[in-house]
Amino acid sequence: MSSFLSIAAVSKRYGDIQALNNVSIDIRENEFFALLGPSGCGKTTLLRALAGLESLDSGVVTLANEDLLSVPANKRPVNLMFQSYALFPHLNVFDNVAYGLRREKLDKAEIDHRAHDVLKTVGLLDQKDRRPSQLSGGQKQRVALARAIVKRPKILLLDEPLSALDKKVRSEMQLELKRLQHEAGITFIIVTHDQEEAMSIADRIALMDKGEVVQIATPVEMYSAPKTKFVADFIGTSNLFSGTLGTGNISVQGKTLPAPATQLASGSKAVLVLRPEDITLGTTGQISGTLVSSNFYGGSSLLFVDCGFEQLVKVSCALNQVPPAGSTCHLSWSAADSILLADA
Amino acid sequence: MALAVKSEGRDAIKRRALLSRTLFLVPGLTYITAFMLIPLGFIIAYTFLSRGTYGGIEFIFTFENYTRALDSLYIGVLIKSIFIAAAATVLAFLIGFPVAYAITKLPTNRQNIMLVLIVLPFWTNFLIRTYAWIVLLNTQGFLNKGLINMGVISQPLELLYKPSAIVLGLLYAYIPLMILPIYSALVRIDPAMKEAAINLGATPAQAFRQVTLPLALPGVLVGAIFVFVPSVGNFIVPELLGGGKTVMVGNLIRDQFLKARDWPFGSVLALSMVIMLLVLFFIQARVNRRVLGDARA
Repeated sequence: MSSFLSIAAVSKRYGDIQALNNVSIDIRENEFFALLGPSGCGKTTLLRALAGLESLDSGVVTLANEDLLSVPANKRPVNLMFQSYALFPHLNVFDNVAYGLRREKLDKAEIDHRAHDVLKTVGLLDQKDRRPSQLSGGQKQRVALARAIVKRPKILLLDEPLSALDKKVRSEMQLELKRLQHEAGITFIIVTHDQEEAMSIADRIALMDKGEVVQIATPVEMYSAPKTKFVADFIGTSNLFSGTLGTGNISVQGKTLPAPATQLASGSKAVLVLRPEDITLGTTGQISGTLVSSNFYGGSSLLFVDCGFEQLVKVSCALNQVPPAGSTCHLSWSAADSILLADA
Repeated sequence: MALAVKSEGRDAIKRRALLSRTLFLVPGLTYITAFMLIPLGFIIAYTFLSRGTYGGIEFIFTFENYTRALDSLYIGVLIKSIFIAAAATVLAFLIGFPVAYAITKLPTNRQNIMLVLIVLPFWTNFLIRTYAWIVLLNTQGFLNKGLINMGVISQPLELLYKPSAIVLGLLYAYIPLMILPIYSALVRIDPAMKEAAINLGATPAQAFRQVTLPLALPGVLVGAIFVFVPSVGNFIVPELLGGGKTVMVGNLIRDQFLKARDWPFGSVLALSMVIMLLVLFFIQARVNRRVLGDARA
């Protein structure tokens, strides 16, 4: 596995807060990589450190085998698209995009050519004389993107790029980002707290929590084989049953549920992870309960069933098979589809 | 029928909104009308009338007050006033901008302390503060005595009663009015702006010149107007620190009303100040729009 950007054992401390704790990530060339995690997990600190806007206490970062941390921020082949976009309000769209090229002291013809090219790519050539204040949110975002990629960086960093957009524009922009990444052949690193976004857009994800990397994996791996309870809880929707492991089963709040094959010792604390789509409704089942409510999500619904646990059990169900509220549901699943994790 | 009722209801809501808006405007409008518009009307009317023997006016229509204002004597005073006020304004910017910039770099609670300290001199009487400069600068003053004792000079310097003393007095008096608007413009700039410039390849100095400074320009212009306008019309500082030798427009206006008792001519001079102020505000509004873009379009 060839590593393009290598982040090795980096740490950063702000007073009492350990923002980054011994973080190591290897990112490949042309990869669409996501740094995912709840707010305060250190993902933005790491992104800013890569851009040179934040210093690190320790650790090494190399880009194409060259030390990145000793390069001053304005000389790094790394461009950042800011969460607030940070467009210059006193310059028009064209001058915003050309700003970075002018700092490289390129000749005017090339600046014009490249800025026009990239504005065409993001579909904003008609708006080039407008000021940022005259643009919609989606247009501002495209200008910010154009301004960053026009520099042809080795790595493009995107800080929560879609959080300010409404849902529909968001999914369009997700597609467009992927297309652009493909066309430009630039390594993208995106920071997001939205697991759905990371799952749909990234080749690989690093899930972070409290300044540490919890798991690095492809979206499918992370969903189907979460390493810890935190990952299972953060990625997708899941039912988590904490209990004590028996032989081939787990005792949860006085009930016994079937458990998949495991390396964990019997008698140890464990969590059984069960995805809503792995549970089927039937006439008999491992557990039964009363349907409390159902949420409609387009093609399918998510049912909330009270099976006598502290938490309601979430079951996904095809739209035409949703039983009436209050009816008794029998839930069954194959133990092999469930995941067993050690509980700290 | 139902529709008619509905639209009538909507009209009532609109009427009520208009009424409440008008009510809130009443105190402000009353104040402006009573203490600004009506007096301004008087002043404009006076400019076309003749002077009374013991002050006041006589109702004889004339343009003479205007032609008299074009006399090189008065134009000279005006130019000198503008020059002195401009010097104070430029110095206030050169000193005030770094101060305002430095304050934005402090932690928030310290920023507030610094701002209070900057406004603090306003709590002392303006006249007393200006007198203090006489104590500091006169030939027997602190500065001269200090320099003589240190052996830097042997003869006391003539620091007072010249234009530079007036500039100093105006600078001292009004520099807070430069610092505050620049500070408020600077704190409103998203810190990501400067970071974006650096990320795009600008050196910190370029980022400052190309991004921070232009974005602070509206605040600089407000500060410049706040310093320039009271400076150009000031008559206390030129009187005390200029020793009455350097006559500025403010002194001239005051003298016309209180000493020469020529109200109509004083009105012409006062009106010229008002017009200059309006022009300055117009320029400031234009620049503001250029810098920040027109969000309404």
